Amino acid sequence: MSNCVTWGEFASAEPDITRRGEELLRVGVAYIATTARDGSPRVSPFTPLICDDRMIALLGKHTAKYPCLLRDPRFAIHAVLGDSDEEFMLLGEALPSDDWSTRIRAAIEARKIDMTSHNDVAFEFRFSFAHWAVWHGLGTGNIHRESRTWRNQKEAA
Amino acid sequence: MATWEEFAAAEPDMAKVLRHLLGWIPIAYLATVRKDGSPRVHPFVPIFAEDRMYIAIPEWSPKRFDLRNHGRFAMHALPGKRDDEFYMTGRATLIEDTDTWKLVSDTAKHDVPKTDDIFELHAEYVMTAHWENQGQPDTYPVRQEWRATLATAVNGARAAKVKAAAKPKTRAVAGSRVTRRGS
Repeated sequence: MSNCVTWGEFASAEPDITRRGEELLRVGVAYIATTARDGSPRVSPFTPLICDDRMIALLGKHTAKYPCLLRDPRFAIHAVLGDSDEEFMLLGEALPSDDWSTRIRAAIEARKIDMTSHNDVAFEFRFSFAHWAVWHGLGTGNIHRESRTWRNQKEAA
Repeated sequence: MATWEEFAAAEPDMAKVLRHLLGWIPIAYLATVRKDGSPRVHPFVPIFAEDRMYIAIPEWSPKRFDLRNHGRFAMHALPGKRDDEFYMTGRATLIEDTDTWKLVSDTAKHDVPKTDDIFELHAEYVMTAHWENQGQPDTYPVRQEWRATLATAVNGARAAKVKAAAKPKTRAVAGSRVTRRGS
């Protein structure tokens, strides 16, 4: 995970994108793409939990994404579109982080949105790339897109 | 692989789940794989034309190259009011026939620039689900799964207009469905 940073480090580097992204992710569902053993893609909804400076998700052991991430930690996340088709996408790696302190922090955030979970493992998500965009003037003749992209400098180096 | 028409004929109730979800919000999420094997995911608007499912992709979109490269995809609709789910994996085939391209473009509810690629989405595996006892500690999903069975059937005349971006020459003529309860 040398080329990926925590949510907190990402937020320090790009506070504006992070703020917008966090708002979109806090609706309680986002989409995560992983790869299966045969290299084909998988996509499923999941609930990212922003725990201060970390992004955690409680992933059920019975779900397809759990063995996918254990085998290949690379992921792509896309938040559910916001108003004006606002979008937020993240790339990076996710690894199990199932210690008791992580689970408590995740449980606190999960409780806030009445999320239930069982037979799961806490994963921490780290990031190498982020993209945010929004459309202005939708439905008018003056439509244009505002976007920002972030790459972890260590990755670019 | 099966066309949407073939899948819907085999499993009309499962097919209705997607049409219902898209009737509510016409957006789904499409995952593809890059050349380096890492995943990608983007929202998209499925287009139904003559009972087949298509996607139009702008020339600048990276997923265009993923689908031209190997065609493998996974899609998931936005959850419905009971957290209804529709999930499908399969392969996308590039539409090179101009009549079909125009049909899809004319059918789409959004603008499809002439520079867009249009792919047909073929189903290999489909899963639908809804949740019982939502909001209760004993909530559980009821899932239905369908898998195409492969056969070396001769492609129909219309399918022959479509050139596969990747390999599949085989075509689904039947499928199998199972229902699972619980996580």
